[in-house]
Amino acid sequence: MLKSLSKIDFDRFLQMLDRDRGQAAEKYIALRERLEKFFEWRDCENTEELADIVFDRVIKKILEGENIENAEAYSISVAKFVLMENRRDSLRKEEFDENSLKNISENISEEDELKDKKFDCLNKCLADFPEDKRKLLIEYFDTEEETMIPKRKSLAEKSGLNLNTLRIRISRLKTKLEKCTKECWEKAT
Amino acid sequence: MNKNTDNKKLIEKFFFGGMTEDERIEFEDKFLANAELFDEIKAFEDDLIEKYVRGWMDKAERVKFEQNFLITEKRRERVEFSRQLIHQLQKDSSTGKVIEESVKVSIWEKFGELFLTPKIALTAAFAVIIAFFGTWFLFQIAGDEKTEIVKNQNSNIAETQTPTASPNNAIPPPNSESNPENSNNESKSNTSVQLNNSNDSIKSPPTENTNLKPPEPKKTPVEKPAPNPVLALFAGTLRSDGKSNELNLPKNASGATLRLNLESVNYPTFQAELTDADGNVILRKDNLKVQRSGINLFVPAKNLKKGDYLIKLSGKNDAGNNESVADFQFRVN
Repeated sequence: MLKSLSKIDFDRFLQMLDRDRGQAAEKYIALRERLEKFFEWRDCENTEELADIVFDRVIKKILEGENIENAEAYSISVAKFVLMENRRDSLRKEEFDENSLKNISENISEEDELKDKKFDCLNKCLADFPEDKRKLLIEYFDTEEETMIPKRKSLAEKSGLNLNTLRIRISRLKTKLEKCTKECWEKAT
Repeated sequence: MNKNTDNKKLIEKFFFGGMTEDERIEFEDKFLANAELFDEIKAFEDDLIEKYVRGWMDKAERVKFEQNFLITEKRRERVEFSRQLIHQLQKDSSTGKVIEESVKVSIWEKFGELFLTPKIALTAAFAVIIAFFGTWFLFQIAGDEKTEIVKNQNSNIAETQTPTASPNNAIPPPNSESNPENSNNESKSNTSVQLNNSNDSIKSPPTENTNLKPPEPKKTPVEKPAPNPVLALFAGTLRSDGKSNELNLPKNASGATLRLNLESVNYPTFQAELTDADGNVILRKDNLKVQRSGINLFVPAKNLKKGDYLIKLSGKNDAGNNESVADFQFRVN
């Protein structure tokens, strides 16, 4: 978020998403995730930064008195502009920068160390994960290719879900773990 | 069902570059507004990543995945995360870190799992039938043999003597109780007894305090996956300091990313050809796109034996022909 935006400004945006603060927060998190993935699937690297830019712009428009009926749809249309701008910027940045590229090879061992730290963070996050969810993940991935479908179907039935819902649940758990690992790793570095 | 299939086809096209720009924009509008579809795409993406990291993709799928999906650092990081997560979860599973309840049933579940595979289930069913008829046949022969011996003995002693030795006493033949269901139940309980006798570790249900051996890991040994190295290469044969570019590939790495740095970018797509010291083409990848003045070429570990390699990079011109752009040399230690 831009520093110029205050908590009150952000609250105004949340209110536009939903009058209930809890619901609004959930809607914001879900929308943010969708926007980040939208940028990621468009091959952008700086997805979090781009999502920040989207929300900053939307909030600024709200503060300027723009009549926004649907904050979610408005954010999505802003995201498309942000994507176009980012593509133009990327093309401009594609000028040869020998120094920064040389650093890649020099930093390989450092990168390995960071990956080790990430692995430690993953273990920590897994250990902190609720037991039932960890167990579900273990059981979900405890399969071979040949038995995958019947085994996962049986796990889904056992959990009172259908296979598709189970896949989505696992995907969400993975996202949470990934987020936790990333936060831990960022703290560690 | 049709909707699901349609979605699946669309999602596949979405990830593998099979959509026109207009189709893509329309699809993006849909998933940005529809949380359900968005979740489905994410789950599909996770399935793809899992298939890749567990080596469940065939060669064509793998190439498609590497060329169309593994093109950003963020995605490569996600793939690496999934690889580590799956390894760790399998390790937890094989070392018995799973909670007690799961361990209690694991033997039977694992036994039952055998029957989930169609091939194995069919084989097992066939084996059961053979075993049943085989046993029955043996009983028949044994019964006949015994009867004959007794008869002979009897005939040797006296014709009027009542036979005391019944074949049933020697080997129990299939009797009225041994219908398939009962025999199955019996054989199950027998199996259970044998298992209990043969292996102390599964004699009684495991508890937290007992000193149990962990269940036998049924999968490949889980090791901490080695991170895939990245080697930055510049056009030409040697580095600016006169040394050759050397790649140290860790034993457990699935491959290496070669960053081919370009001085200018004049083509929309490139082709990279990896050749060994004898000039044999080891790997060829098309439709590579430039990212920040360079191309990331992922090479699987199996293609990187010790030795010298050359990458010939060509750009595709407007006429669709490849024009040589640069050569990159490196050595795998």
